[in-house]
Amino acid sequence: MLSEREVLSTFEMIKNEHLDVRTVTLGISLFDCASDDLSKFFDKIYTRIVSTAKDLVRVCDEVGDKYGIPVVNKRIAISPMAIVAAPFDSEQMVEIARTLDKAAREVQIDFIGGFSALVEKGMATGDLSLIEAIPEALTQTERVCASVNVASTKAGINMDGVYLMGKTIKEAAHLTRDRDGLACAKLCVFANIPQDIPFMAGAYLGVGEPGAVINVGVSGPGVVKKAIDRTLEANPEADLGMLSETIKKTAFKVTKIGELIGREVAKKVGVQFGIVDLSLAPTPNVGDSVGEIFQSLGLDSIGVPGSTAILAMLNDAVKKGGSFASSYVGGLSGAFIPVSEDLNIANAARDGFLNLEKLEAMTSVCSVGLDMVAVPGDTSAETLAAIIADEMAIGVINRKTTATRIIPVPGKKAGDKAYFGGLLGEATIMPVREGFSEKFIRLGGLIPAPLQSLNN
Amino acid sequence: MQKFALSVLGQDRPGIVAKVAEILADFGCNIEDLSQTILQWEFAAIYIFSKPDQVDPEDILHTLEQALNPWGLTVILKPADKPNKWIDEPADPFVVTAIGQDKVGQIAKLTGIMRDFGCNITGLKAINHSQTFPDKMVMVFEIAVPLSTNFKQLRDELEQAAHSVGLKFTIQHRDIFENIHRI
Repeated sequence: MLSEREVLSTFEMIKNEHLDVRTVTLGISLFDCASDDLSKFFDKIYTRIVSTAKDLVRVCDEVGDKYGIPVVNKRIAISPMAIVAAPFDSEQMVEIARTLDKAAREVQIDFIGGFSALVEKGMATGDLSLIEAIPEALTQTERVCASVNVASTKAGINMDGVYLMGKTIKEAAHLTRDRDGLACAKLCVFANIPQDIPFMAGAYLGVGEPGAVINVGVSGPGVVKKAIDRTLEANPEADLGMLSETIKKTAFKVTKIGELIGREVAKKVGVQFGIVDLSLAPTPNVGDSVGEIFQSLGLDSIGVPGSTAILAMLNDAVKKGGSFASSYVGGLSGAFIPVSEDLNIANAARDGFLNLEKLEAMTSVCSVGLDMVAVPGDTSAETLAAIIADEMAIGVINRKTTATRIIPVPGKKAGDKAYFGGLLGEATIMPVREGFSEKFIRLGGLIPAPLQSLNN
Repeated sequence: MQKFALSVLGQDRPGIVAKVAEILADFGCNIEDLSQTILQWEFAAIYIFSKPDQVDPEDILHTLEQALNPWGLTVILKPADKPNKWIDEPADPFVVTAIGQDKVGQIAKLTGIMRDFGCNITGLKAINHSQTFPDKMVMVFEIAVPLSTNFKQLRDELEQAAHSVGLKFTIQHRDIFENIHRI
């Protein structure tokens, strides 16, 4: 007989604390679909995606039902399209994105990631075509996500790529100006992008990965917050060491669930199981917020002094619990702080507790970076590139992943609200120091790999 | 060696298990399985034991009654049955949790549906005033769901029934608890 405590704590996690499996992402390699004949290429990638993923949604729902844990999102990550579709020009790349969108609709998944390029050391023809296609591709499609890796600890920072991404983001925002620049919410610029992220918008299937693989993203900020609240209620003397232990244990449980469900889905879909990405990924729902954890740990709001220390502790405890629970932890694994996707963080930005500079400082210890940050629509491509460059530097020097998903909201200024809808949420536009970075960005070139890269 | 099932029911006090075990040992009986619980202040235990062929079960029953009746305990002894088709049917272990204000008929409603789907209850606890939910009734059923069951239909009917009697409800494969709580 199971103990009452075991059963009831699980019941609470599901019913009242938003425990779920945030995403099951099926990675599909498209390398053997390569062709220089566009129509053949369309057929091959469409058939490959649909045939591999046809049962994904049904199986995820069945397995979710069996364990009583909902699998909220079902997604697909594909090989980086800049490599697979290297022979094609940017207009053809847009057509390819439309084909991906069609395949995603056919198998009823909500996002397909991998409209991606890896350009940390330089750009090949396919990379340039893909990046040039990104604004149109993300405007004309609903479910396609794009990512571009412009930096790594081993290669340094490709500042030409960074500048190009600044311009690309501006153009993507302009093309979706009627939707507050929504295309930019589906575009991430990375340093040290992992090959197996299940979370969007950065998911893609790296070159060293299997032909098909299930990667799982688990979440649970609500569960962590409640666990901290319970610890403090039971023991008002609990210190940060004890609370860190609570977070670690909670992360362990959440990761175990992710692996159990991921392995069963992989078995039923008939593909290999890859990794669990244990990330605290919030949604705009009350009680499913990373920001609220900061309040449980004694700060009035995320963004005030003390926030970076809390985030560092949180990220570390999550990783420790997760790595004990599963031998196959990957992806981003840590705490996300996406501004618009977390009601509490969005409110902190609205109320002036959180600004771009503090957010950037916090990204040095979080698992992703400047995520879902809305800035004024007149922010220049050069300033956007400079923001990206700063974020990339944090990743490169600290041997960690960092990313930016930044939205210059057309026609809006600091203090206005941007609305992205659904899980993407809404955010108050943050002020940016505009017009001081142009000369630096125009220098271009590669910032060399840091000393940290010489570790052989 | 023949197997017997023994049940002992009555007001709890120290020494019941020891007394029964001593008597069975004196007769050369081996206790194979034993489950004991206390609800509020009522004690209940069920034993499966095997006895030497030459021992008369009537003697065992008589000795147990002589020892336990004065303590207000009732004793039932019967030969243990062989497993029937319900026990042998291939099934998956699930856990049903239902929580809400205590009302007449809640258990009848849920277990009626379980019966209709051929699910065998292998463990059941219904707890009033639990530590986690002091003002609510908490029911935890462990059930064997035959592999042939339409699980979605079972879940939907149980959920609907639970809501109709004011209960919050989950049904989950047992493995989830093993995974979350045990290393």
